[in-house]
Amino acid sequence: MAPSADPETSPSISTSNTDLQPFFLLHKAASRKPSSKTRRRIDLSPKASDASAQEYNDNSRFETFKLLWSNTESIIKDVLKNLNTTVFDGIDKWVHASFDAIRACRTPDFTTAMSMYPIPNNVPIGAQIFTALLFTKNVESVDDISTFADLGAHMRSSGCLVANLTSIDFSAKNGVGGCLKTLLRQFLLAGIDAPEMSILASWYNEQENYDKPLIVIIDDVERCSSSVLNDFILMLSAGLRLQYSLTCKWKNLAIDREWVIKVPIILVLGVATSVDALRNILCSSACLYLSVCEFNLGTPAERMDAVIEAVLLRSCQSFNIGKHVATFLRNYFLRHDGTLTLFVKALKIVTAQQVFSEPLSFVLRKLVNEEGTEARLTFLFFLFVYHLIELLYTHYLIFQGLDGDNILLREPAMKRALELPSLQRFWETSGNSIDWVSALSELKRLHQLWSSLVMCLYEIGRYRKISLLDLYCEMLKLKQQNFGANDLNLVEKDYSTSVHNYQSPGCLLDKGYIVRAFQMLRDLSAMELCKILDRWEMLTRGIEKIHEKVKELQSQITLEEKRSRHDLRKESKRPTARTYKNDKTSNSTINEKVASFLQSMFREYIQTIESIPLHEIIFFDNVDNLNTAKYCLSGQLYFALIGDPRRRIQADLLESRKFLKCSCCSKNDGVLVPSMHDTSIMYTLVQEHGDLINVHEWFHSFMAVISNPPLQAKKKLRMSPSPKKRKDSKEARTKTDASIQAVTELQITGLLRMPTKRRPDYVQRVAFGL
Amino acid sequence: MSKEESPLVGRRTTRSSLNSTPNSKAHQEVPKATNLSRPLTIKDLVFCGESISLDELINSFPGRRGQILDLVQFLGPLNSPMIPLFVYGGASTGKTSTVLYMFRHLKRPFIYCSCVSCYSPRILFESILNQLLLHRKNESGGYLSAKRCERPSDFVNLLREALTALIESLKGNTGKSSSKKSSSQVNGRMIYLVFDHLELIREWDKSESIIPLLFNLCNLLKIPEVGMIFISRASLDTFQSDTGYLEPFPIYFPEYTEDELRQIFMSNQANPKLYSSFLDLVLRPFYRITRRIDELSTAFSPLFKKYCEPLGDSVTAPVGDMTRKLFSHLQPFISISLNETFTLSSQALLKDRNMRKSVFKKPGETLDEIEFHMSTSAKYLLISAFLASRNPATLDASLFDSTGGTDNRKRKRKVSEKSIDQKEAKEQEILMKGPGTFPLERLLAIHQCISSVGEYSLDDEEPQNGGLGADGSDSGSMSDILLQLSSLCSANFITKGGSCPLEGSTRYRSIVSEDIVLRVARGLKFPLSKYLYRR
Repeated sequence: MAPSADPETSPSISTSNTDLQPFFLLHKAASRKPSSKTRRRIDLSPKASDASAQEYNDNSRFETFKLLWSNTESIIKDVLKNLNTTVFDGIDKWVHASFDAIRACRTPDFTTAMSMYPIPNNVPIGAQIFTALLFTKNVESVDDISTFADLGAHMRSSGCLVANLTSIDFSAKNGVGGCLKTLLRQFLLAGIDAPEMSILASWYNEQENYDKPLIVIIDDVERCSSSVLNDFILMLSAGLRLQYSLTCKWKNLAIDREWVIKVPIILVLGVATSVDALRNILCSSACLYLSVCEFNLGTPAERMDAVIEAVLLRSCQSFNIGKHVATFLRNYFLRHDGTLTLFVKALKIVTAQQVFSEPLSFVLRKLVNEEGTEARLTFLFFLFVYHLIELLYTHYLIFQGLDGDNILLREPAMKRALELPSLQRFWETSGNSIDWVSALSELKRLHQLWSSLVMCLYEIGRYRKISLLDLYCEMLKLKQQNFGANDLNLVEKDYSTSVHNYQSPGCLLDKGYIVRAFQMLRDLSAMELCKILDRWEMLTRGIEKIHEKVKELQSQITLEEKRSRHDLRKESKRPTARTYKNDKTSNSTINEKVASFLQSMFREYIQTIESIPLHEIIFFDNVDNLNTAKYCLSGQLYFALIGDPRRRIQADLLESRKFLKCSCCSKNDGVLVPSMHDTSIMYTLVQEHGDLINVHEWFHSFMAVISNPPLQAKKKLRMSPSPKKRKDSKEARTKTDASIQAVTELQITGLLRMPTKRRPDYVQRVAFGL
Repeated sequence: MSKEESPLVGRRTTRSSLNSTPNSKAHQEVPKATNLSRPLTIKDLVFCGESISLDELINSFPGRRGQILDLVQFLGPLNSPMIPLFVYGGASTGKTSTVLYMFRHLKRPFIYCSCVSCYSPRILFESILNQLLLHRKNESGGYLSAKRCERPSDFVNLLREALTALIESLKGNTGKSSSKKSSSQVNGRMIYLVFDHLELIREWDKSESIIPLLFNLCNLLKIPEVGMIFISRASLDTFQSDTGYLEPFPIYFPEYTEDELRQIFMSNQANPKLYSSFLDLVLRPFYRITRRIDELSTAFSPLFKKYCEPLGDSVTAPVGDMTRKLFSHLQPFISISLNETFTLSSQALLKDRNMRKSVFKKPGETLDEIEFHMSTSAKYLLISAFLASRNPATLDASLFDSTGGTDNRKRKRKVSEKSIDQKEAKEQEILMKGPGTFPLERLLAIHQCISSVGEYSLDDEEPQNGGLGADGSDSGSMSDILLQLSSLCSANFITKGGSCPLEGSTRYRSIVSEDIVLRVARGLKFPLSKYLYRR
């Protein structure tokens, strides 16, 4: 962990760059805004140019990152928005329907709306508070914070008055007054000292909001304090009472609620788990008042698939993640976290790492920007750059780009570009001399092909709930030789029984999902097959070769269908069993055709990512790094995502000298020296004990370490013990203080538990092992 | 559906007649346009709408004749002082309605405060004062109360001022308007304070001082023109009464009998015969579960719709064979509805769907998947929390030792050797105790054991990741588990006992239902039954 990395090596590959903390780097870059001065400056003297080049590199990388990430972020946002709109529209419809129902029950009348006592009115029996349960389908609620804000905005735009409450408002500490206060603040836009429902009623009537429903959205019901939520619902509906209307011949059963009728409140509750959760929170009398309608948001897996489709497959100009990263993220998603937020965060980190570790990452910017004709221009531009570099190979050079952009390419970066193993391989195979253009276009073409084929496969997978995430990871792992006909034709005899094996979480079986997808393709009915081909036809637009073949297949199928229908009509007189059989066989032949088509596509066009030229630029996958556990990519991702504070604290306490870097104790390795930090000494001593630590023994060993003077001093001490007695006692006191402080610090960090009454001499270890 | 609409139409027309009353009243005094800013008058303290006779009142509350007569008697004739009354009885027995409609009958001014809406002493005090001072919160006033009042002593003083002023004006009013005979006339000089849901005050922070204050209000004020009526679901004994105030006179509202319930439900039915035959089927079984009108009516309304389904559009009363047919149609739904009486009711359409789902589900079949996403490690943690809560801690060693719980049989035999009585008693005890608590360490230990059994390891990406797997898997999942635990806590699957986080002695308890855990375990292919200690 060198504090300042060598400027020569730092921008290069991140393998050696151990302190590459993504956020740190981002921060650093952000503080140094690209100024025109540095961009225009031309300085050929080595030292100065080194610094400015460094700066320029940083800036350009930061800009690349900004562009890439803003692009990705907006795509993700759009995707999530689109996913939610149908649900939101459904809620909107329902809200207006329920509002109409409330209005039908009662036209708000001023005098009664303002009265404090329950209105004796004729509400149909069982009229309750209309409540929408919005199931977020995820135990973690991080993903849905924005969802509820979006819902609020959506409802506001459709003419409702909305208050967004969260579980924080329903805390037991503030009671029902707390949530009423927030409610009133959001509706009235004014702080109320003594919040009360009657204020809401008078506001609602005063503002002449009669024709607008009031919607109260509560984010995550599970986290609310149940008593407060109960009180709130009871207050909204205070007293479901039996009343006899005295207007309809004295015999009219009616139930009245104090405020729901006076103020048409509609609840939207976000539920993370299931209806049972609500039952557990609410008491039966509160449940009575809720008339429930259920809405479902997409599951995290669905959202994940949509995001992957949009970010990694559809926008194939942008960067991408390699198999190791993908697998790591997939496993993390399934096993540990399961939130999209984390996945997006990881993507961001990966983007940052890719941009900052890959010297050629600026190419990504070009790839993102380019569209249609511009693409060719960019290739030309690269060609131009390349030739210039060839000419001025030994010099630093500043190049004025075609688009007016300054690009400063330094020798190491260029070297790296030329030494990219994939590019070299490409040159070897193509026999061509150095050709950037073809390499880049090849990269793009293959990537596009690859993505569209993954999507085709996913279309099949949809029918049997294979998630895109799984398919994507498996496709990344795929090796070309796996597409031997034998492998894919392999029909598992115990297919039906083995299906559930694949579903066992976390284990990615080799070829599992792809083989299953092919299997399915053979089992699909003609209708489904038609649909899939239609989708394929759409997906493969732009890739002429495949597109044509798909169209061919489509026409074949329609032909077959016509024929079979014809056959059916012709053979209707014959026994049905025969026709059925015939139908089945013809069907399976079509299926076989489609399957073999897809197989051939795979064999022909799918290459392993590693064999695509320049794949290093697009696919971020630091395989080498994965071996060095601690600072490897997944290590970094791991720490960035989870933090793991406990482990960090323990490790750092045991190796405090690495951080303190003092001269006194950095030399001796692992041996306790008195100059070490007290807490560190104490914790190292803890390692020698079991789960119970005798405080006396511990203290004595601490004292022994602390007062372990060098040998000469010891001798001196022995010779003259008496005159220093007083000083000794003082020293001992400070040592005791130090030990007590150390123990308290250990307690605060959660590594120790203080002595109990039963065993006053012992402290207990809480954390074990690293 | 046609059933439901016909009474609605009738109601709508009647409602307009009801609403016309205050409006026409407003017409007489001030133009309608200024309705919003119209100042409140004493007449607003009287129940709006037309007056009703005593017979009408008694007729509209079946089974409440005695209580109504008692109430009217205790309130006495016009301008006579009264002792405080304490109206109590179970939920949904008509207490509030009876009292309110009695005031409609008497046309005397009253003030109503529900302790549900007024959730704190301050709100309660200010709400009473606002009504007495004829104050209305509005935007121009910044939605402020008439008087700011937080302390009980202030409240008594302000209340006395407000009451005397109001009674003065009432005296003047009765003198003037005695000649007028309008529907909104104000009878008498008495003013009544009605406190509803008094039992809720007991849960307030300062309940020890508020309840005696309210009960003692009569003595403190010493104004004979004030009457007090307390309405509560709990009886008087449940309020502490050692401060020596005059106890209010109790009036008990008993629960409705089956006949009374029938009368209540039969009132205002468009097709009495049909509904009667429906009640024949449902009232008796439901009567055993609950006698609350509100619960019954929410249970009945979807059932009645179901009941009418085979009839189609014909709204005739069923006869003979048809009754039997309707009965057999309804039969399966009754039992389902009986089980769901105290749970969340949903809109009719949804309920039907649910019913259909549960009716036509095969008996042994349960949903294999949980409805929401949970990460694998959270699932394992949930199972381990469940096990830690259900199994006695002493059995952990035998269940989770290195052999992976293979000596299960041995343990079982040992348990079965005990006498059956003892076993049953223990079973009962555990059932009563519910899920047990456990410290974090035990949870982590069990999690470690079962996640190793479940053949779930952190890394199966590639063998070359061995470095990470060996180095980081244990502690990595450790820190992760603490995160998972907190999210399980917030999802209400595990509750956390309150204690100092530094001490680390927090105890947890799994409150998740067995059904969910079983489903989770099935999803993971985890042999839950092998590890569950069965008594």
